[in-house]
Amino acid sequence: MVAETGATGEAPSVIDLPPGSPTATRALAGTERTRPDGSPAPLLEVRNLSTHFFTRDGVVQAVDDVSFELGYGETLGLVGESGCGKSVTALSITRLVPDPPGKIVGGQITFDGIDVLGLSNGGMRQLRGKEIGFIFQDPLTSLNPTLTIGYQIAESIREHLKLSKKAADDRVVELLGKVGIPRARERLNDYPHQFSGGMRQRVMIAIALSCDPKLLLADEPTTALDVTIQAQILELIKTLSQEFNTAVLLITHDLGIAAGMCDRINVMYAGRIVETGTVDELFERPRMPYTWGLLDSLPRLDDRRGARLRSIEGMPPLLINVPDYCRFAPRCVYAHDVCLEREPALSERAVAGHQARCWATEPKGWIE
Amino acid sequence: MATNTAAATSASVRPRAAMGPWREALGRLLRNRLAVIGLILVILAFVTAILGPILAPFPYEAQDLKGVLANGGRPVPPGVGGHLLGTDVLGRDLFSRLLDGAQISMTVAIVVQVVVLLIGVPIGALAGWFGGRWDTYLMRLTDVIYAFPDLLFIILLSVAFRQTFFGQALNGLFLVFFAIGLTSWVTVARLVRGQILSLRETEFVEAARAIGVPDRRIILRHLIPNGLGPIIVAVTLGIPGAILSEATLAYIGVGVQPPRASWGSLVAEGQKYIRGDSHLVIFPAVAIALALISFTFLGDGLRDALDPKLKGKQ
Repeated sequence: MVAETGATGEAPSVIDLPPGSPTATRALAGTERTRPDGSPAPLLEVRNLSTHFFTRDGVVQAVDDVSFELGYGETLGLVGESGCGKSVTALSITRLVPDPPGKIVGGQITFDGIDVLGLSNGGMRQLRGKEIGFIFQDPLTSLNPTLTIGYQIAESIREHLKLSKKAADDRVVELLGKVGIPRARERLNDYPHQFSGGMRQRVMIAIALSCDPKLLLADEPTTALDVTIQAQILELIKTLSQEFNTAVLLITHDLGIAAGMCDRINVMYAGRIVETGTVDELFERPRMPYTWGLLDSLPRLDDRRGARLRSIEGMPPLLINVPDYCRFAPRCVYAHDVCLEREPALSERAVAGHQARCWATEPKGWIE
Repeated sequence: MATNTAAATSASVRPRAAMGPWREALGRLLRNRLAVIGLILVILAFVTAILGPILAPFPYEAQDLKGVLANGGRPVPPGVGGHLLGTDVLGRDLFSRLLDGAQISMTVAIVVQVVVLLIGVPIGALAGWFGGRWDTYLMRLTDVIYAFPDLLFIILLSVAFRQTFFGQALNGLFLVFFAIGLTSWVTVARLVRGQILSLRETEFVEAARAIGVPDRRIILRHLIPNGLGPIIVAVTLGIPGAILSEATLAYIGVGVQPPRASWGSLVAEGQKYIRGDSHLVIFPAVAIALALISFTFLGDGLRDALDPKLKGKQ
């Protein structure tokens, strides 16, 4: 289906940008930035981010003291159950948390050297779409039914790159070709309802990548799609993010997807990061009972037919009045008294960069 | 490659015509018989209104006193002396006066709805988009307007401004149109607010914000077009109300001044002769009724055509 457009075949010319545009000079700007100690600074640095929702029933601490980094071109997975704060983290990075009731109450987000939380609304708009692309969960509802596909992709290009209508259209055609939509030029004036779900998600990817962003936030990009299309879309995101050298923050509840896509994974639980490490480390030596539970609940090929799927007992806590001890302890089969008294810190494990928030797997813990 | 041939065949089989949602709605509208009748009558009404002075056999103020005298001082009955629909007691040709009245009624239809849109859409959009305090103030304002008796408001306004330039414009009609518009934007404002409130939560709006589209463009390009269907329907269905308001006002003597006549004032004049010369009431009343029915048919048809929930049911 994609053969005649050359989306995946012969290397398409990297989309031409007007000379001097900020994106054209990005590689330089990126490498120049260093931390005080001389090591290269990451693309995205989230420090102690807390996003709370002020509802009638109380303050929901959807994201609480979350810190992580994402390097240039790196793919980071954010994994966890529904309601653990994955999406809110992504929305916080682009400051799209619905306000009211949501509010970023603390922390610092540095994107490419820019203090995101200190930006003006206009400055934030410059960042969204141009430097940070966003792919949403449901492509069926994320496209405006009354506007043509061509217009909706060009919207971002025209807004940020100030191209003429003609130039923008050419770029849209090229993008559509890249995301594997055949006969792109003829489809410019089509409306979203004329596209299938997978095609629409391809269009969303085209929109997200239209201004050659440095960071792509993909919030469960394949949840609304069936499994075969899911694989195609993930492959597309992977290929294009490598081609464009775009860093990806992939949000998913599916560890299988994360394993296939990511360099590193953050496991989130109840608004906190509970384990972080490279994909290999995390799957080889998970150091947190919640991660074990997640891994264990993946269906396996050698499962007995008709066997029940395994799940983690209990429910995640309501994020109003969260306990000051380990948030997973009430569901944890390995919990000791200390787990119900104090919350463990996110601390290093055997391999550098592998951190877990668990008393049991700390050096003096009771699990080896 | 198999995929390649599949793409080629599907492309040759499917004729590619860009069918936008608007064009589809038009198709649905044209398949609805009543709506088409309404549409034709509406177009006819506008054509008559525009061509009225040309089509009219007599000037609307010309008196055929001879005809009246020949009839013993009574209005000329229909069909006599070249008067298709007869004359009034002053010998003025009723058909010509109806054509002139069409001009007034159709102007009401347009001007009032323009005023309604100009006031209702911005107020509804601001209230819906910004919410909070804006929403409270603007919606309480609409509540106040809504609660105020329309007719009283219009009459007060007409009387208060009658002597000003504002009141004299367009032979006094401008003020009437404006006053009617000023009392009927409430429905549209509430409708627009509701549309915006529900649409602003949709994911495509979030997606638009995520690519940095400014608020103004989100409202104009993403929200209004999606909420346009119900607004169009409300406006179309609001026209009969406006025509009726004007007729009511004309009937009680507010608005258009003699010798010009609107359909409403023709009915008002004619009712004095309803026993002997009922044609003076019947023909203007039929004109009003036809106009109302045709706009209502059209409005209903538009609602069916534009309502996404009914899509594919015909």
